[in-house]
Amino acid sequence: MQKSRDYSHLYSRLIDGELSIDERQILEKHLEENAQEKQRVEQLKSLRNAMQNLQPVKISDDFSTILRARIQMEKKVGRLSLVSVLQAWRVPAFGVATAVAIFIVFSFLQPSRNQIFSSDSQPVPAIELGGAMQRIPAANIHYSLDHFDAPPASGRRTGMQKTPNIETAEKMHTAKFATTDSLTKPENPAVKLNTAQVQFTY
Amino acid sequence: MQGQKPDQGNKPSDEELIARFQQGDSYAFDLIVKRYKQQLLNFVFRFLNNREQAEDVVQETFLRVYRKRHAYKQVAKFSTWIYTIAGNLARTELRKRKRRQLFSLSDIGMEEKDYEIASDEYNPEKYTNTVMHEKIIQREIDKLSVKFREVIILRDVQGLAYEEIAEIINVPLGTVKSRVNRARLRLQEKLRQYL
Repeated sequence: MQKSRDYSHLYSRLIDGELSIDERQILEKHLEENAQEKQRVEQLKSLRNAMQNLQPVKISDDFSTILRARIQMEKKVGRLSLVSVLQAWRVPAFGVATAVAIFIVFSFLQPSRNQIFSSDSQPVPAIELGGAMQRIPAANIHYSLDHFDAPPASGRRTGMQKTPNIETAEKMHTAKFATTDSLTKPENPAVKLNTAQVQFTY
Repeated sequence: MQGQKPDQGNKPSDEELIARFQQGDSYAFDLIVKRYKQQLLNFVFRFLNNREQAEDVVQETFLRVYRKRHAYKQVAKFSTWIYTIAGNLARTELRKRKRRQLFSLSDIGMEEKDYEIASDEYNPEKYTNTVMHEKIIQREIDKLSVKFREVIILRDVQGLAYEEIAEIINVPLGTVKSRVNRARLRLQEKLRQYL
């Protein structure tokens, strides 16, 4: 037995008048041949009419009054919440402002690096190097606690002495420590040299 | 803030009203409320089947419009925007209710008994307006899933165009038409003895 084609997907469009002429003719022919389906379409029309004629629900008389009251209340709450937000942020904002002020004050009061190392411009007292006396400006000696760089062997020479070797630098280093109040002379300068950097400029 | 009353002979469109409201005319908002409160209540009531909750949702809808008035852009119809807000709020309310119902299942049996109608003899034309009263239709609408319920209400109760429904629920037009058709067929199946 051949099963008739299902046209139910077109029923709503038929009811809504959205079918094309061709579709409508095909569907109407199908419904004429199938009384059960025709009745189904009629029931769908009745259903739609019933839905359209459902009684509207009457809104409360005080609906607008309540709405206005809620809006007014919201306005007040909105203002209050702004104030409360500002109040809540008052303490942290004061803390941040204080911290910024302290930072600014200290940054102005703190002496500059040139002021701290102004003694570098003073010449290191004479050091005896193998019987010879020489003066090396203290500004030309830089210390760091990382490593020791010996001056390059082929560096440009502008001075009068030969390139100092590690031994010479060791002596100078010792001398520097000996003449600087703020630093303590290391017990073993040879070890300390490994963590000191001495640069020479000639 | 005092607004200027519109010329009664030249009824302003929804979009004109919201534009005026965005510029500070609170009277325009009153007109929007007056224009939409009844149809939104019908829509939400059919969705929730609870008048009190429906009215709360409609109130909240207008509050959202008030708060978010500057979020509305005239790329869509105002009615689409406000129905979208109401629909979203109604769905949220429905979810809350389902959570509440997890703790009170005793109402289910009583609801079924309220609409018992035993009549094998009926005249379809007669029963359309008498026996098939609103409660029966509403009961069957409630049994539909949310996605079918909202389209059938928007289409057959509210009388909106398919295109507008597609924008409100943000699904393709073809999907809306398909859902409306399937919702109608389901309702017809359930209510055919009364049709």
